[in-house]
Amino acid sequence: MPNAEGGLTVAGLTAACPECDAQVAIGDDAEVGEIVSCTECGADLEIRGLTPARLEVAPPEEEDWGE
Amino acid sequence: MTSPRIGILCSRIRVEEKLLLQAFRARGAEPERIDDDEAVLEIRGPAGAPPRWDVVFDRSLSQTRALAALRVLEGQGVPTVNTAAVVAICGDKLATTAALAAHGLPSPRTLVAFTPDAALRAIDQLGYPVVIKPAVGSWGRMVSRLNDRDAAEAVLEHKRALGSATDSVFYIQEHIDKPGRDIRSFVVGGETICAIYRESEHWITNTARGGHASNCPVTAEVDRLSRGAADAVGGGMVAVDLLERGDGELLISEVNHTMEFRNSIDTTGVDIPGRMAEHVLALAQSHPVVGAA
Repeated sequence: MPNAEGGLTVAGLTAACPECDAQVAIGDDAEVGEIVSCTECGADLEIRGLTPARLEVAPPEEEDWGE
Repeated sequence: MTSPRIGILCSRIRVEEKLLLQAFRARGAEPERIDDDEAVLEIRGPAGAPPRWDVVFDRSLSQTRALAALRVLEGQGVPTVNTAAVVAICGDKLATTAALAAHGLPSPRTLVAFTPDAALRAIDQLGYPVVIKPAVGSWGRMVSRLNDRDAAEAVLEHKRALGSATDSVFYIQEHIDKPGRDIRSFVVGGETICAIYRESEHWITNTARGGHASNCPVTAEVDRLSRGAADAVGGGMVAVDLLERGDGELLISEVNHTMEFRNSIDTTGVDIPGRMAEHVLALAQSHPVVGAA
């Protein structure tokens, strides 16, 4: 399917962006809990499932986050 | 031999966690993810039952959750890395500086006061500029350089009025006029495995804030201070931030317990996630769980 850059994602997973409903490509090596950005609206999305692929808006940075 | 049962406590899978998971898999281990959004942990497990993991590796983004979860797991008899004790010290700059002092290690001169008036007297003792930091915080958040008395009065008043009780523990540090960079070293299991320079035109040099990384040779002094700092906070796997004075003297600024390293692998040529995974696997094997089948 065409992505935002006009290229093609080959046989990749996609899921709907919960913010703008665009189809977001998810890489083959994706992990649940990983953050991806929607190429349409730029929202930070967290992968919550892979079979089937499911995205949720990522929670904002908390005060106690860090290293 | 059965493969070790490793739990990895995490909130999100960032580049670091992905690289760590790949490093474990390359070594034949599949860690079980403990998602701190989903976890329900019982403080006292069923009597006589062996712990579920040989070791739990903390990679949580949230210091509060990490500390709570590690304490529960340690109560169940699960070995952890880093331990709750290390997280408690590293997550608190005041506790870190005190631990470094107790171990005779150099750090910037630091004064602590509990009221804005006392804080102003502390700043007068150090002389402007000074750096004021929240005791708990990371990624350079709310770290302020105060260049004069007007700025000091403003920041202290804002902290008093807007903050919580812990914001009225004023942690005030001499400003080190470092050469546009600081040093971040990585210590794994008592060994300094590599170090980077973090360069920035801004006085805050965190790579999370746009600082640029380049390789830093692990000199004898970088090694001594890095291992010393890790030991002072209780060992494990930590990243140590070092500041250079104009005369070359090195000071320990901070010790980080959930180190970020994505910018440091290619920079140093050291397989940091691989070394971390090996350390976790060695811990899992050195703690045979009593009662495990």
